[in-house]
Amino acid sequence: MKTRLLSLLVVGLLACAQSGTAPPTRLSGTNSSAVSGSLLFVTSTRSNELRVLDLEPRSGLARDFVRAPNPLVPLSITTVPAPVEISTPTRYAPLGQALQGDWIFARGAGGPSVSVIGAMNCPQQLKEFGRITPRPDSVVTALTSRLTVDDLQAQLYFTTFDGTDSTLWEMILPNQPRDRSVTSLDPRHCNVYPGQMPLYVLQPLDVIREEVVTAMVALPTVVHPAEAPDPEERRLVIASRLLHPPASFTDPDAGTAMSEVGRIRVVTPQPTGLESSYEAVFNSNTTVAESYPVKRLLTHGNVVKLIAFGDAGTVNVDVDGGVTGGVTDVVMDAGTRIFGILDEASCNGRIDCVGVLAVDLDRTRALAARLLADGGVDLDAGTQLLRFPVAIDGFDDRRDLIDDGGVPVLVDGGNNGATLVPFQVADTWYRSPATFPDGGPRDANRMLPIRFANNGSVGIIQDITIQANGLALYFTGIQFQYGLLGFVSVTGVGNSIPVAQIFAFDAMTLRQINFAPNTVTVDQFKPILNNGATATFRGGPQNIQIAQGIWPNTDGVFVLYEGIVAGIAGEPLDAGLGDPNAGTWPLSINSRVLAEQGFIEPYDLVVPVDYTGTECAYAFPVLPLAADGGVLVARPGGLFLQTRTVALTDTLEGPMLPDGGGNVLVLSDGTIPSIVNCPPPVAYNLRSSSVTAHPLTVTGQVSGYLGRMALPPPNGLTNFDAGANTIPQFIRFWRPDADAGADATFLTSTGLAFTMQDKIQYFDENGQLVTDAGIEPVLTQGDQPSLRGSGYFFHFLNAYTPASVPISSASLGVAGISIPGALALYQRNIYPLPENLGQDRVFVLYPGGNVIVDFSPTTVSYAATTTSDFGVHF
Amino acid sequence: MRLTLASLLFLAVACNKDLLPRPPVESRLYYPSGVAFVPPADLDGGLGRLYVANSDFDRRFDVGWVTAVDLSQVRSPDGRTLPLPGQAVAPPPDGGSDQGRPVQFTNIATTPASIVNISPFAGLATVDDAGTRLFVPSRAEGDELAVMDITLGVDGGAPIRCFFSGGSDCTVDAIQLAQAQDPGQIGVPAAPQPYSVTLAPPLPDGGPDDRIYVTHLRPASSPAQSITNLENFLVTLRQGDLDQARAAWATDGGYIVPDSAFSSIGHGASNSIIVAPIQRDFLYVSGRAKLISSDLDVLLRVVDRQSNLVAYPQLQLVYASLDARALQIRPDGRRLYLAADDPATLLVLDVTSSNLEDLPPVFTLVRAVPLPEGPNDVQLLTRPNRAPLVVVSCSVDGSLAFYDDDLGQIAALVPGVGAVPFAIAVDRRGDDFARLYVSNFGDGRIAVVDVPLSVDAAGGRLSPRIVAHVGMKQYCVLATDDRNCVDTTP
Repeated sequence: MKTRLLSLLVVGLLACAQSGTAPPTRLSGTNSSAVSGSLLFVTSTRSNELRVLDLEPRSGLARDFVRAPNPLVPLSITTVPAPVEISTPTRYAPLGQALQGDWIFARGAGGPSVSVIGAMNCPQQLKEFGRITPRPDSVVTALTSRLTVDDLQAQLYFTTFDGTDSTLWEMILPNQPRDRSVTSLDPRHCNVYPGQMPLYVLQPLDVIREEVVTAMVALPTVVHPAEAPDPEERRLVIASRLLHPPASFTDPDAGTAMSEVGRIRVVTPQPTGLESSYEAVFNSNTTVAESYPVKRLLTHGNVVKLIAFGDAGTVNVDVDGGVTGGVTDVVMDAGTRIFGILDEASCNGRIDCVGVLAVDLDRTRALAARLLADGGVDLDAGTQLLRFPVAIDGFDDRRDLIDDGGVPVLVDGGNNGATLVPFQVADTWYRSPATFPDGGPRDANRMLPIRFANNGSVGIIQDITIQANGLALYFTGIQFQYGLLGFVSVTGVGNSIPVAQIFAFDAMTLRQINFAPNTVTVDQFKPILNNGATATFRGGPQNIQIAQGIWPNTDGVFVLYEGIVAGIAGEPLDAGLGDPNAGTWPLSINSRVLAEQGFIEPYDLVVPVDYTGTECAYAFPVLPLAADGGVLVARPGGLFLQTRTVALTDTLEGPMLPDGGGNVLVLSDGTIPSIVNCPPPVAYNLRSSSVTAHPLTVTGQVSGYLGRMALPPPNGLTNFDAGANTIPQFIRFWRPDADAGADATFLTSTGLAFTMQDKIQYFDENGQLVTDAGIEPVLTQGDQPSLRGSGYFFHFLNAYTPASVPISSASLGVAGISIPGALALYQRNIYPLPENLGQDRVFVLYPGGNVIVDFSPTTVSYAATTTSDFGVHF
Repeated sequence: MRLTLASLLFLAVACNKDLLPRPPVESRLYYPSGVAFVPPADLDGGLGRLYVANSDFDRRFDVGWVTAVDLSQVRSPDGRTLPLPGQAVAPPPDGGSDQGRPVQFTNIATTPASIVNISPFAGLATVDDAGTRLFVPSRAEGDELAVMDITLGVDGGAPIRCFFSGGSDCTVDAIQLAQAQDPGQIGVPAAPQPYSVTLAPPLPDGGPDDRIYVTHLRPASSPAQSITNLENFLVTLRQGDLDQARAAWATDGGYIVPDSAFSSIGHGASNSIIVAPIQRDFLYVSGRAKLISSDLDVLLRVVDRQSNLVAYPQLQLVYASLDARALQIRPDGRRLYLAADDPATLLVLDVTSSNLEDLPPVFTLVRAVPLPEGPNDVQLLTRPNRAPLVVVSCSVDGSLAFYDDDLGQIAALVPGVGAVPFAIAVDRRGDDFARLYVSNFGDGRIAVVDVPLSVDAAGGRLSPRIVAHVGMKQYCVLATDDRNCVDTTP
């Protein structure tokens, strides 16, 4: 049992306070966790048990695992075999805090049973009380639980799958009321908790035919601050996957690549079965009624804005939601919004059908049904079904400023006051509307509300946790409060900067949180030589534009004469393939891919490279000899590039001739150099050439090869852009604040754009308008070996740093921190207040190393690796 | 002083004592690693043959060996026979009950002719579709691939003999895969520590394809023994070449692998190979840790079968594991299942073929399913009108995990398979049942597990069960050094 708190301040305390050597916990299989009161329950899947971390040890002691009656070993709670998911009955306090009941429920991998475990930190409690096995021939696939608002009843819901159908079960257990002003239990009250399985009620609620239930959440009862609770909530949200989806729906012509179909039911258990409400739709296409399967569901507590009186001193809150020194404004009721992690397997992991989506259960909309009862697909989508639609991502995080009379404050919107517009202020609390101003639902941003990392390539989403009214430390040092603060764990690092696998997001406006301290800025521009030195070339890229939220990295961009094409450099001449002296050059598999994608153009240059890595002084144009006019030529052994054997001249005499002739280099002594005049090559570089259609290469320092562009015509210009329609593709992954409220249709899809002009104009130091060359003429000529790879460079800041928690084995000095899994939130206080700095914690399980890491949303640095105030437990 | 003299004398005596030969033992299995199954000629009535590679992992014996087991002849101590797949074992003849526990078939009914010698540290065993050739690589010094002829003779039984020599000592005629690693040699190409063999399926047009692919775990050094310029190779052999070598064995000796059979697949051990279905134009190669952190990860590599060029899907970018084991793919080629360790996970990857000819497919991670500890072998069990089951041997946990693609999670877990379940051989004869033979590396037995697959078999419910264990437990050998001991513990 080892617990390491990395706060430097606390280390000293630890050293003094720890009594004896901590025994090893032998955690193995940290796949699921749940906070219950002041305890964190963690699965140890391999050893068929739970371990328990005490989150509120005695003063001066570090968090440590609860120990067994023999204090030399950690407590082990036996469970069903291979526990992989645990749940605890939960309700939400008026100010949004999650409150748990007296039980922990665990299901095992491929098992038919649910373990019922006492959750109170009392001698008779932390053990398995019994196992519920209503169908020994079935497997439990999902579970959720709820606590009634009076604390008197714990309700467990779970589903079993028998190979064909799913059965929903309800188990009702007694629960004890307790003091909710604190999360820990006063041991003097242990005597009220049972030491053996109490009487319970277990009953099947309904059978769901030919579907597998993949996730569930029990909706909570709403209790407003200082008011009587709403009627006891009974509804469940049940996510399932159809075993036999209509085959034709997978047809790409159906307008979707969905290969598996889900159903998200909102149901109320009744004696006669489940009474259905409208279904919810988790689909990035906001116009259709069909949902993707969902692998995890969860909801939240009340979103409550605490507004302090202007002259108030200290604001105090009580357990009933009462406030002294201010008032409360309930922005969203508990259980209104349902978050779902889409099952990445439902649509080949395509980027627009993975992620975390949200549905609001107080908004319905008629959506078009494409699946017909006969299994067909209605492409015209004539049938309209009322559904809970997916919430559209963060398109409004601003709020009108309202005067004392409730009237929006208007300000000058242009035309010298002729147009007045509402004065809006930033508001991370605001609940986004379901529609755009014209009333129609939209496919905003291709509708992936939360796409993690800078480009979304992060593997699969493991888990999310949501805190109502959560505080997060902004880079300015101020704690920002979010209506719903979310955290997510992902399996890969993708290209996130900084490298991270845990990300924070604004679950209220459904956006990732940007921690970049700057706006988009071009901070460097210079002509360069191929050795990196600054050149004196005139002109260069003009009108550089970078769209925030599309370009994944802060980056430097080279625009080069005879630049390396698509990174094809040092291409080996191994295995005896090709015949360089005859102008036949082999391609590696990766380069062949690039050629087939069209990166290589006719008359690009093959420049032989000798064993010292030195390029030949001569370069040889690639000929378009393929049957389709392309450059890949079939020869024995595969596909090759075919060049002519004589070199390109340094000064162009005109375009290339159709047969590949013309512009042949003739040396001063009259000789015509060919490939045999180069030192024996071992490799070659592929460079662009001024005789191609697009002579200039564009390459990012971080983002790699971006493409190429044409030379500007006389008195004209050419454009370069990279974005949604280019290869590589750069699609919008984040909506910047400035665009919030705008229709996605009007957002640019171009991430990076600039022009090259034949002529440029600028004012010199004397204020005189100067017309000059837009590109140095020498950079438009034939092969100049000394200038190969010279041109222009600019650097920009992309103004996007996703709020993340970058930690690793290296940063924490603990092995096994490689793939984060389950998340659990511990909120100690009734309401998150800035003075409770560091008290709320997020616990992250790392099953690879069987390590638990915890951090606080209010102390962690979201934009850089940090090691302070992390807890590590293993 | 007296004590010292006595000690010296004793030491001298000890040094002079010749080691007694410790030949393999045919009546038991010992650290079984690879296991291969050959179905019977009569699919409706017989049980078939099992070939088990005994890896002699502690070198208690002079060599490793392969045991041929005629499953119809194995017996429990009370004389019962192994039932057909899906059928229950007969009750004990004394009228008692097995109480639901797997029946121990300790008598494997073998004779000295049932085994052939191979090098220790055997890897996985592979048999061809015709059930005539068996391949077992071994990781001991020599880095050998043993090839065995298991053609069924007229007298039935479970035949086995060395492929080239026709004898019973296959260390004599095994194919050496790392001769270039001998001291003083150039080092490459070589395949030290060969681990698994994959046989090419027929060509897309139905024509024969005689290619044999071999993986290996340890990278080759260049020069040999230098631990520099480390490199792993794909070894591609030809059945036709082996046939020729066999015909010339008496005159030419062993088969020498030409350098052209090796092609570099970069830095990092290769574990298992499958051939891409349908077009069969690529190999998917799983692999263990890359050599240095800046290398591209080797969880999965794609090798163009035409050119042997290698593509790296870089799965580690989306799942930060270092160690992949076996893999399987759906028959339609669209979903791949890869067992990874640390953490123990079944990675489910969608495979999207390129629109451009000859380009490798794209792999998208769509699920990462937690597994019990120590995943090793993976087998695919197709089912009528359902997504396939994927079964994974979890060697540390001692269990089999069954992943159901319809559920997206583990649908059944069979604990207590034995100590260190390692490799899985599948007896699949119809839609209703599959029988799995699982080599328990740690206890010296083969677990027999029946898996109902259809509605007819088990009402649609997935309820795999351990039917039996074949062979005697090896614990008593470790404790007593008595090769003939019998462990009577349950």
